[in-house]
Amino acid sequence: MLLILLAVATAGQIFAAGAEKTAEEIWVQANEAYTQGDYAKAVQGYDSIRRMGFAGAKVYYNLGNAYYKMNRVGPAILNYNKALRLAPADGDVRHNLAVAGASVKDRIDVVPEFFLKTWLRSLMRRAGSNAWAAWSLVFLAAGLALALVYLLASRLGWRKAGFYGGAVCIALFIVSLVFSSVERREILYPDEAVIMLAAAPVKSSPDNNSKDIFVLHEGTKVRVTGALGDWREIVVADGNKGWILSRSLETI
Amino acid sequence: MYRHRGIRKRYGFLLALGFLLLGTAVKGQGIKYEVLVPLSVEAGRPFNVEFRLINAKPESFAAPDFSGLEVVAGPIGSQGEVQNIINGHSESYEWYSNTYTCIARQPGKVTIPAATVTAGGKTYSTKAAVVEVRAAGAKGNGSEAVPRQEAAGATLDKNDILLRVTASSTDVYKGEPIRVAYKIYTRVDFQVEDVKYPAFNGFWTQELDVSGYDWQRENYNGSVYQSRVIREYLVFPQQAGTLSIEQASLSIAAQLLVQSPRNRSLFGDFFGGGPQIEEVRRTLTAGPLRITVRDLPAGAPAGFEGAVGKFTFDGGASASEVAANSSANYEMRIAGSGNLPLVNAPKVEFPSSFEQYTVKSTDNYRVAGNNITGSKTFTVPFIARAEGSYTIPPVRFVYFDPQAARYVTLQIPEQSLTVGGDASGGASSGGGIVSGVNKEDLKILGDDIRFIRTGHPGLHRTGWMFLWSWQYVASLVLIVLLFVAALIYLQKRIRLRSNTTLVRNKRARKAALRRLKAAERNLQAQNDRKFYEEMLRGMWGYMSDKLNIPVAKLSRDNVRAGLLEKGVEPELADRYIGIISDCECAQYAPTASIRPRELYEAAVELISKFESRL
Repeated sequence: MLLILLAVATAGQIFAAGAEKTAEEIWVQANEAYTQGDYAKAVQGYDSIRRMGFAGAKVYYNLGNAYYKMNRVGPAILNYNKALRLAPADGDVRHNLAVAGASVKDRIDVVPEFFLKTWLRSLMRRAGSNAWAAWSLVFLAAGLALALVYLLASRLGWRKAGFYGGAVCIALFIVSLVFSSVERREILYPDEAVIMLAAAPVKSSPDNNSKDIFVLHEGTKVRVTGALGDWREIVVADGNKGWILSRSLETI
Repeated sequence: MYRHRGIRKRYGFLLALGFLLLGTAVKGQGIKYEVLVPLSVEAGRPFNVEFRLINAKPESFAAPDFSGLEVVAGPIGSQGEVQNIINGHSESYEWYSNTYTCIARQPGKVTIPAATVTAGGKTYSTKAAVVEVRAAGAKGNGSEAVPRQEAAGATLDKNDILLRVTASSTDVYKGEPIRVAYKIYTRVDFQVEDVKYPAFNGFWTQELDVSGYDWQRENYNGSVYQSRVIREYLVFPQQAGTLSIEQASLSIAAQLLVQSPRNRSLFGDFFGGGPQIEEVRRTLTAGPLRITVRDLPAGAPAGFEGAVGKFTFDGGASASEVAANSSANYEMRIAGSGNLPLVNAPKVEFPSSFEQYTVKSTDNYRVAGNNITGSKTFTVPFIARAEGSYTIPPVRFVYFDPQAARYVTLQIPEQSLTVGGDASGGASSGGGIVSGVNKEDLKILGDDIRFIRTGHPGLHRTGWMFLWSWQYVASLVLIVLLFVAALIYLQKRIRLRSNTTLVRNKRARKAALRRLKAAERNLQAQNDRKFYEEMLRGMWGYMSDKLNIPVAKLSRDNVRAGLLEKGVEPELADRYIGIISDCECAQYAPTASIRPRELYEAAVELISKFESRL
């Protein structure tokens, strides 16, 4: 029984490894196409990697670049945002997102939030979920090691270092675990979306005949707070709320 | 064009008093043929009829048929030359004339038919002229030439010059145009000095060009005048009710010919003592005029914006298929007659993703009759931002027809519009980028995106997260297990290290400081005796804790020995014992040489030093 399970698992591993190899080949080809200026082909390549079930900050970044070169701001911003989700501290992604963002029509005044929240968020964005998870393991190991120092050291200085250092490390372990969980949640259950249509009317209620409140343009980032049939309730960064057809946006 | 300083002419000599030239001005070298005849004469009195050719030498002259008149003399040919300086501009002309002296026998009106003349191979003819013949002896309108001739001073009768205002209609609908004309009627030569036209409150006015009007002979109230329209308006009432067009006033200086009776001799006439010009000032008024404006009937359909008249309406989008992000036009043409200048562009309801720009209007109308006729074209530029098929709903135009007294709604039917892909497709700075230009932070626009990443793609399964994956959980468990194993392995050592000494050691300094604090309180209170007591208790107690010896068994020697054994320098140990000795001495025999503050500080310093070493 155990043997059979093991065999199935191994076969799965081999299959997965094969698929990854193909994906890497496509990756190289798509990069070549991009370099030669064949952006449509590059988009196709990156997209097929994505459809094979693989993800990666670099893939989203390159896909965003290719879309941007094809003058499609909406998909470009969507993919940069996806890349940022996986690698929030990546300077290139941030730069390109800013360049693409400059061509978004809507200028939205962001509602200011409490400074501590902003500060914590910017701290969280210094690393991705996986990096924070790894850090949490490092902090846990360090914290427990320092606890041993506290318990074993004969000199008072060492004991003090062990005690306070250990406490700090355990606190950092908890913080990084929280950061990692928050970012993991954002990736697995995304609530942010980017407008994909050149102009999308936002209505007061999920009904075609209801009044247009405002119009959003391609590339604007919104938060999805509710859904009803084909309609999504969205909140713009300036606090405006409304309903929009689901086909006019795509979640990050 | 009417000139305020217009009818200013000086003739070389005048043929008859009360005569007016038919032509208002002789321009340049133009050839003219005209008849000079008084406007009114008395039956039985002779008067002159002169046919004058200007700027050409007559070759043959055909006299008209003077039926109804008795020709007593003529034709008498004469010629002359005239030099005029008008507004600094000089002009000269020569003339030839044939003059008849006639007598009208019957009161009434006599028409002098056209005379013709041939000059330079061309034939010219005068206009027919009407002369009013008054009954003999009748006082007439005072416009009679002869009595005035005889008068010492000139008089201007109130009927000699008149200003009249006429309106094409005085009962109209709101918005229906009225043509208002100011006309001057005169039998004398005059200059305009000042003119004041009304403000037309409650009307929208358009002044019309009057340069097309010329002086003409006109019969008004039984008298013949020279008349001309001097100002004309097309006015559109903007409010209902009885509106008043205020009085217009015109100040003139009439130029009358006077002849001084004492100089009335042949020689006098001949040498310049003859007729002279005297100016008489007068203010002429016309109006006010009352206009009844009826309000438009109630129940105007939606979209009515005050258009009154009779119109047609057509138009539509310039193309049924446009490219996204490129501009297209929606045109509407309103043609017909009515208050076209006041017609507003009908509203076009574009789909929400269309951007609409300022409406341009092209006017192509003119005044015809009592109305404005022509067309007005509205162009609405728009840009469709998103691909797809859209419908532009019907556009309505509503006007009021004053003749039928009802509202008429015209409409451009609904139109479907297909918006195709962006024509500027792959251009790097086209389309979306342009629409971002109006943003404030342009500085990044000149920047390009950074190049793609190459090398290892770093792929993982979509949705795979390290946190709570089996790898993560395994690592976590491994770390905890390692810790627990270490704890178990090192259990004995830990227990060995955690004896009471360490705890006591730590407590020692705290207790000592507390005791010294009590001493310090007494120091502050200058309670010396109590201070030394507390100092001693604190210092002995500290050593008891540090060296693990009960207080009762403590002595100077075993404290010193204990301190040395712990690795404390002998001087420090001696100083500690020295402070204890000083305290004991001072407790019972206070001396000036021992200062409590110094003792206290030295003790605190020593204890701190021990604390870092023990």
